[in-house]
Amino acid sequence: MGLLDETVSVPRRTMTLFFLIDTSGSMEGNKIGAVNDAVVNVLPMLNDISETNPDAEIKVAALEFSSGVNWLYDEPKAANDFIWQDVTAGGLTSLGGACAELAAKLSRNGGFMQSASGSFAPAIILLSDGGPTDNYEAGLSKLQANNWFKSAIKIAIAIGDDADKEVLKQFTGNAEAVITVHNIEALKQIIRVVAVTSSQIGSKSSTAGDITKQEQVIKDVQDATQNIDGAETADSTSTVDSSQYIDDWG
Amino acid sequence: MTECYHFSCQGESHKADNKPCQDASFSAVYDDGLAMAIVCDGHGGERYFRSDVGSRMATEVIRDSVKTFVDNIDKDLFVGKPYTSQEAITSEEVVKKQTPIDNAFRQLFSSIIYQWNQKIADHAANTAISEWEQEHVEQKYLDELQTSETFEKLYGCTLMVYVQTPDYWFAFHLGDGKCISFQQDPFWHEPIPWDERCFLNKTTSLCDSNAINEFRYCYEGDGHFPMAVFLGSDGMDDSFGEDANLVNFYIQVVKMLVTEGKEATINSIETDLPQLSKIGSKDDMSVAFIYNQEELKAHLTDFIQYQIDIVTDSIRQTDERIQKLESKVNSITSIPDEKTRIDLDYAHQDLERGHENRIKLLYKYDVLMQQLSKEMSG
Repeated sequence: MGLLDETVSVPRRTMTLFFLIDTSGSMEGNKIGAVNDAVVNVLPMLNDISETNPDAEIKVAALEFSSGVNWLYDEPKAANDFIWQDVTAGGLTSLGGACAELAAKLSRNGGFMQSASGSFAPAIILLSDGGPTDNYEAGLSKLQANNWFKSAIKIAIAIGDDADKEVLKQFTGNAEAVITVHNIEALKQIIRVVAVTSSQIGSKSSTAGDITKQEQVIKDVQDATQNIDGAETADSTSTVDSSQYIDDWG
Repeated sequence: MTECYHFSCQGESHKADNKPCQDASFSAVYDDGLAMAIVCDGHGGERYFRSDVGSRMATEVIRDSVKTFVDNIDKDLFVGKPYTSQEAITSEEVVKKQTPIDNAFRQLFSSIIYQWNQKIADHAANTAISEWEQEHVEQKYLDELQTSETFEKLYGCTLMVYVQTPDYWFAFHLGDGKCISFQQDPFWHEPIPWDERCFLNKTTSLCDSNAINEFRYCYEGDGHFPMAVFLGSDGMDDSFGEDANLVNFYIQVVKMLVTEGKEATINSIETDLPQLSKIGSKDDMSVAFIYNQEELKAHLTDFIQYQIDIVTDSIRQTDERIQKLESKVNSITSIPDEKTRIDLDYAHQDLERGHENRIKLLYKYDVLMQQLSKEMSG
């Protein structure tokens, strides 16, 4: 008999990547098409990260919100197994409802999370092109009280100038974690960069120095954003002449 | 007879940059019947670059303070007391409800904090920055060592302690890691209350300014003693995920102690923990335990039966899942849309995994049943 024989389970540690996708009516057309396209294309990259990472397996969960909220699947799926179902746009922007739903799933009791031992903090990517049409403060305050959310890497992608960046800032807790995109190509590239960077950093055992994983992700995403035409971070939008870009969703 | 053992090893992730093992552990059984086990885990962040020293010093301070505490305290304070636990203090209201035992523990914890601070202050004052520190640590943290009044952060660590005397036992904990005890009812539990502030990579610490209120503890003096108590650093529980897997590992240790003896068990632990760090948490690993060999021997079949019950329950759950998936697959008679096709694919995939899992569980069940049969016939 050995201590690590066939009766002992040593499961792989896990990190869950959440996509929260605004599918309200204003996303209709090229925006939602770009989101579908980008996520489909990034899933194999996440699988590569997961398979080559000795530290943790990456799982993916996706929540779409418009007039209501809907999880694409009722449990997180391994990046390799996740089959993307194209989301369609229509309806309002229930961001508060999405926050409350996410808070409910960031839990072990009926939620998506496992024991904190053996888990890494999740990474959460929020994509939105407008402002909430429901009582988002109530949902957000539930979420902000959630320990998994507090520890999570949180990045928001503001799709165009109509996105409510103040709300996205409140969601991420950091203005620098909000990336604004102004065209289709930038949207696709930023989804890829944010998803890949969050997964790489979020699923590693050790952190570089004393900065948090969220700070590392922000730094790497900001660096990448400088080379993406039509994407900008809080640094570049904080000037008086706020944006060098004009929205182009044609 | 009460026996003990402890072991710490460098984590896999520390090997790459030649970081020392930041865990420290200790165990002893003294002639007067006092037994103790200690695990301290130094923090891993760059700022805590002397946490290996901090955890080693914490272990020494705790060892001496507990010995003095037990030698001097009136044992009648504990005798007859049922199992009692106290959470970390987070409000003034709780402070007001302190009993004589609570006050005694508070003095012990104060003494540990004070002596640890003295020791690390001496170390900070008298130990020059090493070449390794110069090379690997940012200047702002090195400066903190010499100029800051919060230099204790650099030595920060957690602590977890189990103490047993012939008349009573107690345990205390500050920070993460897990303490698991085995007794007849409940068969296992975590005797020391958990602190919700210890979550993912966040932990309370001996270097916190409010450390005195972050200790949580438990005690019992009514004649009931655990058969075995295991202390494991967070590298252990992060490797196993769910508590049930960690408990299962400790049961393996118990079974080996009884069937193959202490030396074989030690050899196996010292070989397997570095391996476990590699396939699991990558963190430093520490375990310390106190056990009663005769009690474990007398209850060996209970340990095996517990494992069998857990596996049996897993088989039942797997069967239920398989049944549900089969119903789902059978209910899909046509594929009107993409979503239905995807659902069907997932159901087939999950069904296949369910059957594979069931085979593994049945194999585990057979292995455990053979072990039980051997013990029953022996």
